[in-house]
Amino acid sequence: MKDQEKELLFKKIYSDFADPIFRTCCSYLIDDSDRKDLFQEILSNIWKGLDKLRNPQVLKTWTYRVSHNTAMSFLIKKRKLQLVDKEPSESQLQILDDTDASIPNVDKKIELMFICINLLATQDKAIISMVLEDLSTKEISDVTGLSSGNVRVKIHRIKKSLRSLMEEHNGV
Amino acid sequence: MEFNDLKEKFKDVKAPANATSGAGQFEEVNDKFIDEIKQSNKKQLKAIKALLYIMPISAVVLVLLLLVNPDPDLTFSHRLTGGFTVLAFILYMPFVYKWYMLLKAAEMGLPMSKFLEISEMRHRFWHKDSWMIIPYAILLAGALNSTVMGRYWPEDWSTLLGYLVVNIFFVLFVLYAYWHSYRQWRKDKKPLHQQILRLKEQLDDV
Repeated sequence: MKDQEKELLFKKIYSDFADPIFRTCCSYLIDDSDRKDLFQEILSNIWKGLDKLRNPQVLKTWTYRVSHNTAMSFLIKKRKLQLVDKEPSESQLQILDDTDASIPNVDKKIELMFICINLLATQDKAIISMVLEDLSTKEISDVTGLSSGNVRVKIHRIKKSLRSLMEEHNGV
Repeated sequence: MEFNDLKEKFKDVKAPANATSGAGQFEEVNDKFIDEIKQSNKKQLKAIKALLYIMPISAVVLVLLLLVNPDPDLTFSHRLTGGFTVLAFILYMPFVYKWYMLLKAAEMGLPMSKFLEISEMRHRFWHKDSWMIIPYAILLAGALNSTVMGRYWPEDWSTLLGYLVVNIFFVLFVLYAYWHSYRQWRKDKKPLHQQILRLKEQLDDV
């Protein structure tokens, strides 16, 4: 791919997907500087991968794959992989009580949701964040490499977990 | 909690304006940021590419210096050492190339389960290519034997003893290197390997 073509495609990806990519970072990480680091790493990997992108028609699912794979790599490097759901830490519960939310201009409910998503196991974070981005079951299946049936069952289970986590911590 | 309401509010979260190091407006990616990515990408591939060039060039230089060089001061043991070393390089090159291609491949663009499969393989201590270390070690042993026996072992000492001593030291060295790298792997990579394996299993499970 020519340099100019690559730059144009990269800018198009950025303008279409910067926000979903950032929301992916928020789903995996609570710390603001970690989120920014991950965001930059995802963009860097998108750039590196553009030469190998064979089918620009699947730009959307490809971008989500790079985002989630980079996030998992990031968590592996930082040793923050989470294989099971966990309880919120004191600092996370504190965030909900603070008047300044960690993400500016965000509803407290959304803040609670990000904290609750963060409590989920890593593989569940990936799927729920794609559900919230309105990806179809087929698209999620394409990104994860799982069958559509498997994805549907997981979505149902994860939504249930997230709902009960949010209801449990709503009283904080 | 209405999930659909949350979905709508979720999408109100936007990437902040200073999320890229170029600190441009988020609607336009700063050109400086693209340049930074290009430079970093070039640096990483350069290091691995350098190895791909160094090995064949070294092999050619060794062939010229030690094998075909007509200099009468070069003894048979020099040439034998050179031969073993060149063979070791030639044997190792396809694997360096294979791992270079693996690193270069856009595995970030693969489905997540496939990506985890490759990550798991990378974090293993032993995989199917690791057996290639044996012929490589044998060639290095050959080079060491010809160097020591040809140049340093006293002529009036037993040749058999000489080969025994050299090879025992070599085997001990190899065993120590194996033990040390296993210990490092156990400390640094094994916990990650196990986590990646479990993550992959959980992703695949319904």
